[in-house]
Amino acid sequence: MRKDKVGALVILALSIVYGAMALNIPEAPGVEGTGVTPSSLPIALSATGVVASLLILVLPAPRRIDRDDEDESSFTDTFKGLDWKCAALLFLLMVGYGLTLKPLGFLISTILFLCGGFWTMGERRIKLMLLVSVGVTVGFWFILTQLLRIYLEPGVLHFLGAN
Amino acid sequence: MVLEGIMTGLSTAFTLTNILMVSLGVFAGTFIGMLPGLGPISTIALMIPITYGFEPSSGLILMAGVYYGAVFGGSTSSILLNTPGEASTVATSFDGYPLAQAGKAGKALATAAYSSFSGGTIGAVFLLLAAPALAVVSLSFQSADYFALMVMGLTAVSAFTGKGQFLKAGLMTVLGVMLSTVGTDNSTGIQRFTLGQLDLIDGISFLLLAMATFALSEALISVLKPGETSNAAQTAVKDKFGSLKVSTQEFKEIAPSVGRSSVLGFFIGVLPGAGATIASFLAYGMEQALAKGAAKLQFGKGSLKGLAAPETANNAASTGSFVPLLTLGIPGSGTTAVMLGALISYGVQPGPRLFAENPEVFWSVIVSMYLGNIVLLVLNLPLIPYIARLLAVPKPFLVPFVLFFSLIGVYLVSFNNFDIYLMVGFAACALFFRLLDFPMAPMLLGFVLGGLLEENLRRALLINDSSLSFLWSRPITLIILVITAVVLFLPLYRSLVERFRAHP
Repeated sequence: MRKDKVGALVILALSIVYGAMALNIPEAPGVEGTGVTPSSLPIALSATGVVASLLILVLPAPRRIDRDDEDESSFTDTFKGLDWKCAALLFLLMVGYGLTLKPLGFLISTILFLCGGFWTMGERRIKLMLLVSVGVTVGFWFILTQLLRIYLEPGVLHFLGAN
Repeated sequence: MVLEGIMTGLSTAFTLTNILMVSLGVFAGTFIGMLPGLGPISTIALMIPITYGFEPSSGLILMAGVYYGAVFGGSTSSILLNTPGEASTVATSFDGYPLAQAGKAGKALATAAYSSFSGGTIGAVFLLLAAPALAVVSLSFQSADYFALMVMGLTAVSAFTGKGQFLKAGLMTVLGVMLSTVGTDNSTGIQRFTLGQLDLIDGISFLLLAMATFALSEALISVLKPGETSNAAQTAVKDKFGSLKVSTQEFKEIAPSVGRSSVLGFFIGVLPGAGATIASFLAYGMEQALAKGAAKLQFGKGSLKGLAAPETANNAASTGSFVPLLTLGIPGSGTTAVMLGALISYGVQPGPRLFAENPEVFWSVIVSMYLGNIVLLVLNLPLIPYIARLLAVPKPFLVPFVLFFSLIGVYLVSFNNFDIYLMVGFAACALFFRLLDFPMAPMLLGFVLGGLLEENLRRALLINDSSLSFLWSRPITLIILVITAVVLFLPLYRSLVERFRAHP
């Protein structure tokens, strides 16, 4: 399948779901009688989204500005040969960072996140990884909490009693 | 009055703190903007949280520096590595990279810096003249005109995105406006699309969306598509830079190109849409068409004119794009949309009232933009061979840092873990659409303009007794809407014709 069609299909689905939700927005009188209710714009948007994505789906491929051939590159070709594993691990790390930021505190969770990131990206020099991550994290923490007086969760390091 | 304004601006900008700020901004901007893959939008977004506690004028001045630094940083990586951070520096790499390969990286960078400086300077002069005049005119604008202007802005950004991209850019714009409707409706207090999440009642924050769809997804794309940039960077930096000098003869050679490209760039920049990109390509095309004989053959192989023209035009256009932002409060491009985000975070709302009520802010923005240009030339250029060493920072360290600064930047504003998960979600979607070649900037612009669009539509209807006649009853509104219709249907028509011609 052509790749712009895949994108259009996804936006078509999104527009339909969005439109359905727009229809369920609680009824409110048009703002001071203007006839524009909270659902007016969303419904119009959903309709525009549906029409435009259908246009992409039915129309043949456009010619590319930078190449002479048509933009027929397929969805599967685009997604082949990419480093999915690394990207997926980074996504997991980011979610993990969100989960640990409060319970473990800024310092520990950030050092873990950075080291995990370096490792995922293929770095194996442990000492260097620790040096860089601890250095940056502590430096950043110092600037935020000590100089700018921004509160950061101390987490398990609450005994530091900062702030 | 203009002179008085300039003096006000100068006295605000020329304090020790503010000069320090602009220098800091230029360095940080060059630094981040140079990293392959990170464009000005990401750079500015990354800097917003850092400047939250600042005084508005200092914050703005720092941002102006960041903006110019980021644009120059992008040119640096285009010239040294042939990896343009964003579309507007693609034309720079046409002749910049061949020059660098021929051992004249220093000369190429210097030419780029001088051209950017000239483009920015000439652009700033035009801005000085055009902005106050337009600001006075725009005071008479009513909601109906604003509504029409926003419709035009949204249409233009898709129309100028590029051939065959029109429908995709349009879809992304619609998607952006959809995202802007999430949260509590301002006029009725009714919650829309919050999915029952308390965290979404206030809507999606602009910074969060910008960081997720630009900084995060740009960094992740570079992970997905492992290129040779790292190795190329190592060699580019190790190689000799050559002299940074540009001879008088060469100056004379590029001067006319710089003059023409500045004017062209500025006026294209004022038009809403992808200003800097179009301007740089047009300027390159114009110079190539005007060149004769041997000079013409030189294009694409290391022509100084071919490097100077797009560099000048893209800086002049960047300056030009501030005209609609400052006078109407309407950003015309993704980059100015982020600048608008930054301005609002300092409590400054650009628009005609800004000029009338806070002239000092208005003028200090303009003056500080110029100051950013000077600092770039005086401080940054001599240091560029050293700053460029950063290009050799290995990717395994770079990517996690970009992710960390993006996440923590947004987290430090809300202290809400939900924002981190939301960012991860948006980044995943952005990654998907980027891989499919759907442009991101129109989405961001749609998001920024979405709220204003609805508000002005409502106000216009309220003033006009719910009748849609406001669309044609005022000449200004009507003219803007007619232009919008042309902007909308011309590329749509062309796009349809092209699609059918491709498949008879």
